[in-house]
Amino acid sequence: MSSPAETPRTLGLGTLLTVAGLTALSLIMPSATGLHAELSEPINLLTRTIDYSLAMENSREGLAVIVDLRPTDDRNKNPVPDGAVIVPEQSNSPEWEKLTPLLESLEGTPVYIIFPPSGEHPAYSKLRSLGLDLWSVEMPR
Amino acid sequence: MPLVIRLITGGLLLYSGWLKLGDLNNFANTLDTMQLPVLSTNPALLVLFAESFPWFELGLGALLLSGLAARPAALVAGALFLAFTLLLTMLHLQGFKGECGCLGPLLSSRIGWLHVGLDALVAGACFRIVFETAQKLKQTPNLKQ
Repeated sequence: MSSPAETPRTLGLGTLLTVAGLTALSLIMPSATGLHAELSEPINLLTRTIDYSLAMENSREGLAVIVDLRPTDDRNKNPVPDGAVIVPEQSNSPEWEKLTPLLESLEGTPVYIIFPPSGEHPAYSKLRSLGLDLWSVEMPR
Repeated sequence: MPLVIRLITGGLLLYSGWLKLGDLNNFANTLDTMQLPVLSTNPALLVLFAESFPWFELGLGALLLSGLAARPAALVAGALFLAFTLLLTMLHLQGFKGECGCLGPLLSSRIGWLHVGLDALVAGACFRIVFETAQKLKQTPNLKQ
């Protein structure tokens, strides 16, 4: 509890000690508990790209799968000719329970992603966490 | 009022930290997609931050709930939520369409002004604890040093 005799100086000192204590706790606990984080392999969007028409051709021949992350309006205006996997926008959607095994079964198959024109899609991090062979589709201008 | 604010903020921090600890990889990947300054170019630092930050939240939440070092903890929590407010404002203005992943099913929509407003509200409430107590101390002559 706050001391009645607390001054701005003691508040400052108390805040420093609190931050130091919490920082020490947060640095020690991952090793103490063995709870560690792991980052998925990053996609290098500059080097791992595929031309739109080649992506469509490979998809048509069953050599790859296309995942369309564009907003609904964009997808309706310019749909993927032979169909694409559409994933839920919310990472805690129940649809993910059905989709995840399907996506996991694609291990070894190239997965071409059509990214939104701007911003991020929440499914992007989810897809990255599945360890798939992901490629970015270069859309025609 | 300060007790209610402490309980709500402490509860939010404990819940948020516990959720993140449940899926640390997802938290690390969420941070990665946010492309945060410094962290986005340093994966090792990002992973260290991702696995440490939930413990910081848990510790701070525990301090606020228990009332131990209540004013310093409220000041730290206020600064933390102010930082969240600025970060979410920046991400929203940049067109980031992901989830912040802070409160799981309690706040699962895309980052928007609602998130920014809630964080600003909690930050303001925490600072209120700090400065309201300071005002009370000033107004009570026999408690002055």
